Amino acid sequence: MKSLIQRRLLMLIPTLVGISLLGFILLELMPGDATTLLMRRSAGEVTPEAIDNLRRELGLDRPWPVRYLRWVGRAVRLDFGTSFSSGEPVRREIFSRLPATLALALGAFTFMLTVTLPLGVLSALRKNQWPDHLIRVGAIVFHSVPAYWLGLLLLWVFALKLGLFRVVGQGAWQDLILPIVTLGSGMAAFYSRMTRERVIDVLEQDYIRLVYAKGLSRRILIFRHVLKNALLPLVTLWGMSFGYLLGGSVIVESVFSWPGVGKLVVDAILNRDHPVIQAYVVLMALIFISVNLIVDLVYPLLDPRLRPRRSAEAMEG
Amino acid sequence: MSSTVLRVHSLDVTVPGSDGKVNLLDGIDMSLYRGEILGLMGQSGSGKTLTAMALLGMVAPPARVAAGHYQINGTAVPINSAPAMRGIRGRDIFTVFQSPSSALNPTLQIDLQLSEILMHHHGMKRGEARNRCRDLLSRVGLSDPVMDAYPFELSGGMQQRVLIAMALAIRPRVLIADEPTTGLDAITQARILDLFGRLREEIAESILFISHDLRVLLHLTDRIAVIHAGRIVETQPADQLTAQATHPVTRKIIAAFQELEYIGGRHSC
Amino acid sequence: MKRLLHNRLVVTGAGILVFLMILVMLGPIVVSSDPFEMNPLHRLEPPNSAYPLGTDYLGRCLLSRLLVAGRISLGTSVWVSVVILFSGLVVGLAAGLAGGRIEEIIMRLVDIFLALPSLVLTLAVIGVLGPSLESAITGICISWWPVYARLVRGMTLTAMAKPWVQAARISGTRGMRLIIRYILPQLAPPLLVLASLEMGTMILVFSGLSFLGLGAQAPTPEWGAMLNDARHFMQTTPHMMLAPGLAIFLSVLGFNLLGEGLRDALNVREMTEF
Repeated sequence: MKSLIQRRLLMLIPTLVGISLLGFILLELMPGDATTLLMRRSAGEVTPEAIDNLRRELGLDRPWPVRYLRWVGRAVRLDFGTSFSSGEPVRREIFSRLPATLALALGAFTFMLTVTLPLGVLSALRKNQWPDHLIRVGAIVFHSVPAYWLGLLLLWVFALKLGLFRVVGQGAWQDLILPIVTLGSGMAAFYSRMTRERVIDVLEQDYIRLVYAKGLSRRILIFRHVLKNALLPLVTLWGMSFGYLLGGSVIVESVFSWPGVGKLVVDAILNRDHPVIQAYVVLMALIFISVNLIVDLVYPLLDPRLRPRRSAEAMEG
Repeated sequence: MSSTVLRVHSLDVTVPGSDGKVNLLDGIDMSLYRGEILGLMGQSGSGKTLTAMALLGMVAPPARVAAGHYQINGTAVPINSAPAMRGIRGRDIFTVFQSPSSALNPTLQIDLQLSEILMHHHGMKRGEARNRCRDLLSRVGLSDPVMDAYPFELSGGMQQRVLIAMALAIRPRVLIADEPTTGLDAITQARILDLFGRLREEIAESILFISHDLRVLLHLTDRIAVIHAGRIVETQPADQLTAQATHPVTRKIIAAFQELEYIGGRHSC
Repeated sequence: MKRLLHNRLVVTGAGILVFLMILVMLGPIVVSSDPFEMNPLHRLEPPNSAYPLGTDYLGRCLLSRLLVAGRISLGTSVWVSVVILFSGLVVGLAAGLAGGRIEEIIMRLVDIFLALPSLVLTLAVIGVLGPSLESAITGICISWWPVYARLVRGMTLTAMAKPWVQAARISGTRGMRLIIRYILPQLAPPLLVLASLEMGTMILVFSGLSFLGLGAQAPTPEWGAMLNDARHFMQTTPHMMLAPGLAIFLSVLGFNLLGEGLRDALNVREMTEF
């Protein structure tokens, strides 16, 4: 078990290096460097000397490996510089909004789970009967609907027409409901299909036939025998879907004006605010990697087959 | 007190075909007496397993039981009623499969897979059931550590013994053993057959032993029924089968095995 | 082939797509209004005889904008999908066939890409290049091909493990011959399904980016961008939201149905993830 952790962490290193390089490159590829900064910040004269001074100050005259290392040094301390648009430290901009995005992502994920598990199981149990067909059609439809359109429609119906929610999100939990439903629906559509297939797979196994032969109730069958075996392989997929959620939140936050990092980065791109963009990319990558790492480490705990096994001889009476 | 534990006749299982219904099982007629092991022999596709599934009420769609009179211990069982069939499963009738490795839930411990029978059918509490498990497992020659083990940690023979322990837990009126030794190596096969022989009274009131292997059946069973193309074509006492078999299919099977083995020498004609 | 035509999903999906394609190809020719022509006097009109779908906030005919936008939305998405799938195919095949160190190195590289959620990387690229149609295309292409590289490599390994392929390799078949005659035929059905589903996804992504203002820029008509325009006028003229959204929905639906139908008809078993 420990060696598994060690190996996983070791494999992370090239990925982390890659991401750091990406973040660094993002900053480097900014058209105009210190000059942009200077022009926005100083009210005084922009002379060639001032520019040169600033360049030396920021270490921009050093060769790029040095600049890269300085970047890494700062990144590790979560110092990503200052936002061009607001003048605030990027760190503060992002971290003040991160909880909102995480709340949205987690909420959407929970919503997705509560919807797909019952639907997927129902669909599998009533395979090829009308509930199954209905759910499958629904899944394809919701998988095809653009999230932003769904969001707009929901906004129009529930916020404008029915007045149940505010149109512009303030960060209160009620404002989360529509965004969660919007973000979660597309994923739910995909997973209800996957769940259905996994459950059908499991139901065809021999050990399920034995459970039938034991004459146990359907409830026991599903909860004790089917669910765990069906859902286990999906856990890794869920981890990867978190990435989809992080990305999708960008659109949903925009539609509902939800004050998260997604909205921040879209504005940053429109305003060419590179420090923010770069910080966003690096942080999202780190979050995504962490989630997947946790999933990878937790999975063997859930699946007994991946744990160290005792020898058969030890079992013999 | 009747000595007929199971009686089924006119059992038909059909499946919709392009020209109407096709009979997979056609008028199956069979009786099981208390204390006996009845062998059911046939080639692949003859309907052996399907008969077992029909008796268990586990015929998989699109096939269905079209007709049949079914009695367990003298009481009629409506063979087409799902709740009624579920009622007799795990109580009056039970089964042990071929391929024990796939018959056990891979992510559940052995203890629980055995205990759940006791908890559900005998109303036992967890602790009580666990103790009973320990007893049952030792009856089949498995020790304590097996209880907390997972199926993949056991060998094929041990897994099969767990299934036999399940039968012991239930002690059904009828146990259907569907090719329980196929797929096991020769030594393990011998051990399992030995276990069946020794525990036959504790395992069930009567056993229906399905196999395509004549040698196993001759060794273990009291009577042998031969099934071919969905029908029972002949039923004979095991020790007289080779001598008295009349149906051409039976004779063909006997001939095939005699070519392989020493049967001719062991049982004088 | 016959089975394909009998499959309801395939027919429905393909039908929708063909219908849309015809609309989009011929539509702008048939409809007389110029999508770029602004009529300030006729701003935000509901559907009427002169403007079948009404007008937008600059007085432009919504119907003609919708149809022309179709060419951009659909065309770009299809094109992008082809690029992604092809590059993923090449890399994945190369990795699977080469094996050993080369495979490891390639997959390591792919893994680094995959460590980022695709949309995030796309945003990064757009961030560097500045919002525009071209940068959106570039961003999407760079971000999505690794997913397919990984999938294709997996499929290649499965294909190579088949007994008849191994037999062929032992008897000397190698290189292009091996690929063309043994591997590609096995890869074709799942790839077709993937292609169809992927085009649907690409429409969503590309319009999504334009919706955010990061893709097609004004005055270029694009379905996602039109939705973005519409949202500002949600209170007064909600009907503006309907047509572009419906267009996107139907296109994606068409591709999804086609993909699912193909999956059934071609009996594809592999799990195709995002």
